[in-house]
Amino acid sequence: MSAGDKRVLYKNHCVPQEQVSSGGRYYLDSDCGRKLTGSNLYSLGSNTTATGTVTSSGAIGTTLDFIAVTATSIGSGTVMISLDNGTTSIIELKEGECFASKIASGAQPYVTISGTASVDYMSGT
Amino acid sequence: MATPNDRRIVYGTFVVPQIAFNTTSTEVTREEGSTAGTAAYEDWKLDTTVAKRFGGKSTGDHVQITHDQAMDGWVSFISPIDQQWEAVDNIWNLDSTIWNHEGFGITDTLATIRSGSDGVKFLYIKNTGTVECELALEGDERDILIPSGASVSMRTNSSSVTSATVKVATAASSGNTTTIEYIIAI
Repeated sequence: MSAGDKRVLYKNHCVPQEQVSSGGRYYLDSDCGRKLTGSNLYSLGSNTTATGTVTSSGAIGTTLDFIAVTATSIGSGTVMISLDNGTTSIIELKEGECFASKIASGAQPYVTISGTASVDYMSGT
Repeated sequence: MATPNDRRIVYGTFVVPQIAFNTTSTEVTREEGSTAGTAAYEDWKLDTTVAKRFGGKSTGDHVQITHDQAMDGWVSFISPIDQQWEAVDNIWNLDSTIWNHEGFGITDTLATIRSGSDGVKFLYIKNTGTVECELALEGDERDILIPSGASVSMRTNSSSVTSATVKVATAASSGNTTTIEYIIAI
């Protein structure tokens, strides 16, 4: 590495849970049996990163290699993410949730906000 | 086994953008020629362009999924109770059974993991192999990339993402194979 090089450490976790009876506590889902996690240290080399906040629908960049999108606040409506410039929304974010992944450079990430919301994002190119 | 009363998925994401920088040398040469302090070296710190960590987690009801997933194949694991007891000849008190990591092998041809037209409410995929995995959620556009050891988790839009539209592969025409573990919850 050399000064100015960039990289992104990202982790995604999930815990499937099941509730045996109404009103009871939730246990680790017995079909899965464990918590799941994965992580990656993605090197961007001398490429650039960017960040921003959007409050209305719009693209968040082109020819990107990595995105992280967080719905920081949702007053009303929904926050959706598409990777085809807004044609098909495939991911929904509730308030406080984040989507982060390496993406193909041909993907066209787009955030659709219906209602009132604030969405933070970062990208690596 | 009885179908549970309810099912949900708690999920979270953590992102730290970093930039390499040269540390400041504190090295000095003392009177008799020996050195003290630390010479300059390269290290990582929080990316000064982004200037913050990213991340989030589900709250409240988290991701509510259908309590009856209709098939064991909604996860890539086999519970010990899924084995047919009459097919097991082991002596029970000498046998140790655990949830097996069945995994799911993929090739360079896009393939569905779970068939059907049910809307998918939550998706988790981890690449447990050594070759990058590509994920398509609409059409055959391999927009999401999952390097070795990495995973993706998301609350999918069940109006547009169905079991049949979730497809995985390695790079097209590469001849490569890898394995994944997954949750595809309707």
